Amino acid sequence: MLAVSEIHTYYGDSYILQGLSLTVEEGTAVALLGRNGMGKTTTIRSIMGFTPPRRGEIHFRGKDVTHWVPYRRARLGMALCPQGRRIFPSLSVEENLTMAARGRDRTKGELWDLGRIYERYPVLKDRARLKGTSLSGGEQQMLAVGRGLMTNPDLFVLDEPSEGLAPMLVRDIGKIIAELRETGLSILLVEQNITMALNVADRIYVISSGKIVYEGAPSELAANETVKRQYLGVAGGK
Amino acid sequence: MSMFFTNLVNGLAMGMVYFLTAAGMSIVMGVMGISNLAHGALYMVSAYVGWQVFKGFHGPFTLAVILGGLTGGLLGLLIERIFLRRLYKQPNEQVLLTYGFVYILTNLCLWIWQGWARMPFTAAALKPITIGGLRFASSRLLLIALGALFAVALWYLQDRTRLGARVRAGMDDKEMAQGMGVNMEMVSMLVFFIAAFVAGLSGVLGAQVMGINTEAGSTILVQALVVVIVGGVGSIQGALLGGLLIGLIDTFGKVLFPQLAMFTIYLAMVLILVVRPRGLLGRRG
Ligand SMILES: Nc1ncnc2c1ncn2[C@@H]1O[C@H](COP(=O)(O)OP(=O)(O)OP(=O)(O)O)[C@@H](O)[C@H]1O
Ligand SMILES: [Mg+2]
Repeated sequence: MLAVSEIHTYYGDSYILQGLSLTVEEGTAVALLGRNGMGKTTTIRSIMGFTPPRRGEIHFRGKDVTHWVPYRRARLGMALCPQGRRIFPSLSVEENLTMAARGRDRTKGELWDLGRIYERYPVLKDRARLKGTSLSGGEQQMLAVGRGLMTNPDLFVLDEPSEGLAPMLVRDIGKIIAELRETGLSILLVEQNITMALNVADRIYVISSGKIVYEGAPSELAANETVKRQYLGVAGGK
Repeated sequence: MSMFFTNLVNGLAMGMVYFLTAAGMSIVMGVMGISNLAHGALYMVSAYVGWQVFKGFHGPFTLAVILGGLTGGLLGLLIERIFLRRLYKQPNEQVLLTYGFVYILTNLCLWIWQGWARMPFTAAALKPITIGGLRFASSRLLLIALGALFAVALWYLQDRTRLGARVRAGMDDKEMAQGMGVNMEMVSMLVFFIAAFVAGLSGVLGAQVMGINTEAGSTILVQALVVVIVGGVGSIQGALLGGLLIGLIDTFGKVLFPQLAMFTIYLAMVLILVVRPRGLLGRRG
């Protein structure tokens, strides 16, 4: 589905991603973990085309999209639920959902449309006419997920969806992502919440200073105290 | 009393011309961050084209308006595609380039239509309308009606359609809108065309009641800028409110304090900005 190989990404002169590679197989959920400022969002920005890498390649659905502009990548089937949600403040909840809604050229699984989103997340239906940013944090997160789903993607990229949410809402979001994975959607999940990531992911990558420093199954990482302590800031013994 | 109503109609008609000219300018500024100083020149060229069709070739007035609009739209699109799109986020260069177009288009008009001023041209063709014993120039009433119609149409386009939602999303967060799969360059092109088209329409509609000369490219530009600033950048409703307000202040100002002339609208602008620095209905942020 997605293959990132040896990418090097810069912001001006700052050299951030230093030869990073990762793959997301079709129908699987992959989690990218790492501490603050390690380059998780930069990885996503490279994949989406917001900050394309200077070197390296990105293949998506068999196409070399390294030099594509963002909207073409999105139309090929990438959707982003960005860090900080980035709901469009001048748009109503419903407009946020429909502004980029698309069908899909392939017939695989059920299509997402407004009716299905509202059925799944009824609170969005109740608030349909309100401005998107007038919702609570948890509701806005749901809206950001719904907005991405409305484009009927093949790959859903989520950047720290649990950030700033109360523990109960974090569990809800975890459940939503697990459900989406069950539908066969490929997922790339960036998280700092290790518990949630371990619950939903089939494969885990750990990033540190712009490089992948660990790759393995969730159960392996769960047992690996060294990696957890060194790269994820998890206190030993837990 | 009858003087009051005559001036009211004149002011509203003028206000509609300002609104139609400023609306596109305001949206282009808000959506694309482009300051297009040639916007007024598009108004002028279109006004001459409208005059040519209606007076020169004795064509129907509707055709004159439509061709005027298309002239503005296509010229605007050409300027955007060939020049402006290379100058995104370079306001100084945009200002220099587009002001250059004011000179180029002004000279083009001088060359094609010579320097003599054209008089208002529909008055003779349209009979005045009598309402409650008062006679009104039907060309001005037509202008007010068309302006109101366009205000509703533009508001609908901006607030009730998917194109409008994408335009607003682009103003909020262009990168994210693109990440959603929206081709913002295409959206910008469309917006630029519509803005220039409406400026072209307003050129013909304005010239039929106010006449046209080769200075119009700069004079209407300044008035449109005042309207954009007063109404608030990026808002159709703001342009309408600002346009009507400036039209009325200008008209009544000239009647009540003729020695102040144009000064009244700048005074109004300064007073409004003191109270509301973002304009009457400006977008926050
Ligand atoms: N626009 C930018 N210009 C320059 N440097 C940047 C920019 N954005 C991020 N950085 C730097 O790049 C590095 C990686 O940032 P990135 O946002 O990818 O981290 P992250 O892993 O997503 O962190 P967080 O968990 O806090 O979201 C950081 O050192 C950051 O300071
Ligand atoms: Mg981040």
